[in-house]
Amino acid sequence: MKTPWPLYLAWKHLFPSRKKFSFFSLLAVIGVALGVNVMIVVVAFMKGFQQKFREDIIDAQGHARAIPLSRNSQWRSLQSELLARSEVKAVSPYLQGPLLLRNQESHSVPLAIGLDLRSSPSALPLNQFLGKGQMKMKSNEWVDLTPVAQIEDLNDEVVFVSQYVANTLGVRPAAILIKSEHALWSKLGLRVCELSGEVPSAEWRLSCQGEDLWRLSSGGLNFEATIRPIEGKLNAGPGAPVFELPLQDDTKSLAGSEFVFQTFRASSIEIFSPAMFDRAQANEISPPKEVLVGGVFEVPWQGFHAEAVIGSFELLEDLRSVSGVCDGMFLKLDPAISSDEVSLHRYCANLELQRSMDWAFIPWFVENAWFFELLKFEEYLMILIMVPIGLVAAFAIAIALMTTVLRKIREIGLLVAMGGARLKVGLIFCMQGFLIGSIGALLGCVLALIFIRWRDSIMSFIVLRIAGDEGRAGVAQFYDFYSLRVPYPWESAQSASTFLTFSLFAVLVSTLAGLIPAWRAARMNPAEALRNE
Amino acid sequence: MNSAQPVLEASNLAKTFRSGSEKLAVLKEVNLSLFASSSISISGESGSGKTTLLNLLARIESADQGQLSWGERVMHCHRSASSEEVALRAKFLGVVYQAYYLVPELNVLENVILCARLGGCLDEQAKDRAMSLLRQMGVDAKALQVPGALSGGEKQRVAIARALLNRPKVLLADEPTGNLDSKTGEEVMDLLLGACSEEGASLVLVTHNPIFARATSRRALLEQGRLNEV
Repeated sequence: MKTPWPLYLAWKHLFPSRKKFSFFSLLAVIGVALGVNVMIVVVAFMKGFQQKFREDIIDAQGHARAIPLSRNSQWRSLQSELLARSEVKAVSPYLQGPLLLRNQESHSVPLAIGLDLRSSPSALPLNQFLGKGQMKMKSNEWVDLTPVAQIEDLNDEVVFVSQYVANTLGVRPAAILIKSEHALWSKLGLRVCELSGEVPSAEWRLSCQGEDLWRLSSGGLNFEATIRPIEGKLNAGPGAPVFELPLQDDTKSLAGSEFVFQTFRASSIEIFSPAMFDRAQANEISPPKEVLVGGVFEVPWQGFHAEAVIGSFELLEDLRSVSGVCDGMFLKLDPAISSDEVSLHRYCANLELQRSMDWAFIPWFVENAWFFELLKFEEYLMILIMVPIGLVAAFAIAIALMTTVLRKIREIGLLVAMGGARLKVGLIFCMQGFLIGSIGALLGCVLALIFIRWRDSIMSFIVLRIAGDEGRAGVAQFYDFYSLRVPYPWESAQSASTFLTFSLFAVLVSTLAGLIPAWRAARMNPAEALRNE
Repeated sequence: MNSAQPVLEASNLAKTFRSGSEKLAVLKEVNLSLFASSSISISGESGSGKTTLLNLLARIESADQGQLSWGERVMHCHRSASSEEVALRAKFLGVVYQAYYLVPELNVLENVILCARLGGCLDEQAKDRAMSLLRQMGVDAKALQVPGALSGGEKQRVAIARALLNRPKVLLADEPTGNLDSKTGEEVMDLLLGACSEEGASLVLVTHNPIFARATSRRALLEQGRLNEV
């Protein structure tokens, strides 16, 4: 197929023979490419943030919440009924309400959530939030080996507090630090796998006596035990840390080695509930409930209560002096329903109708609609800021093309004199805009793919130079940047749509930028153009 | 086309330019008949309207009055050229200018075949013919060079090759040696006249040089808006 001559000349103006490219085309293409790259990256990351929040909310609240509309609602029968449905994968009841927490002179009034320990792990994968909130002790010589708490560690005497509450009350879970032979410890792959909150503050010595024989002692506690590993674990009984040995049989080489540890008991806090105040008004004095801090959690979603404490369902029942009631249930549904918001909404509406409206079933996105509207607004605001930047680039292209028209007045006259239609001569400049837009958009997409592929390294490189190590930690912690999932265009239709939309926008704007110079060229009198000096 | 029929005929062509409220009649009742394979030189003082006359003949400008025919085709010379006339111009006429007007972004060969592109007749034959014309003009060795690397004489030879590519019936040359020294000018003029004769193209040559003027079969002088054969 023959290339139309306006397109051919437009290409040659941008990429002349015997030269790779003209300076103007290089600048214009780079300008468009950077613009497209920035627009795609910003929107792709905004969508990545939205996706991240979506996953965090679902992990913290389930796909939907069932909320009783009356105090007499029988939640146990509803739980059984729901679990009988194939679409419902898990149902976890909860109790919630305010509690007063005290540690010495510090107080906090967080929202307390009581979880049913039998069902909540399958409904809410809260362990990842405990991992995020893990508190490491800082020491120049000792190394913190404290294992991350698990939701299974929760019991009626142990609670998890949010990072905010931990900071407010100045509390922390139990900790264990190694004082000697750390290099050997980590080289051999030994680790502390369990650390009860009740572990006393003391110094411990763990020594290998020979094949499969270990000795754990604590002079301060008058404790001494000879232990053999069971299923790869060294467990000296309640109150002592539990160690895990490496899988390979390396104990022979360990014979005679000794490791010294320091443990710190978990902080204890006093809990006062509204029920206690009610009893106090009736002249019944009940002491505050004393519990240990088993772990610290952090939900990286700003909409979640920053001031919160998680305890067992039974603990909340006890503190509130209630039984047989729940404040709601978290529901985890089959992906066939939960992956699509319309299906999920319809399913919840059907559940409500079937329950004679005594329970409300609220999908996660309805409950948090305000938050996503806010994120959407931010996304639109970003686009609103970026579009004028794109238009500025278009003006720059228009001005450059207009300059080209003025520089090529006599060439325009010649083309007409040689039999070129004036409209087609004008089209050359429109085509230049189109080519700049197309090549720039393509290059911008490639740059965006590179940025998405190596986002962590690029971001670290930039942040490190601007804000140092603390800045990088801030980006990781506040924005949770490094765990963002930003899909490639071939992985998600939404991502493909973002790439396509901004590429087309760049092509359209660049082509339009060529219109005025094209119009100017097309209406030029060829005779006057040829006379032009 | 009848051999007695002129390939280019203009009668009573007139053109007036306005400068503010003043009117300047550059051409008044210009008559010209040009037959196949003939040539005519047009001389005249600067500003006498020679280039304007060529523009009218090429339908680059519209005339105020008069008639113009390209072969048997009567042109609507009082209006801007229609798209049909523009398409016809690409094949019927070739133009050579004093300032060459080569496209700097194209190499020599691409400049020559640009004419075929504009005329919609670009094919392998056109490329072969372009090379043949460049050979005829003695610049085939520079086919892949850009115009910036050529001398003035070489540029004008390329411009002549370009003008002849579509086998035009008429070649309009506006002071083609004006920018060249006398020796190069003579060489270029010899090539121009030789090529026109070989291609069977009629030539309208605007020149100030009486020697070049005498080389054409007819000579005319444009003065006071009228074309008089001498």
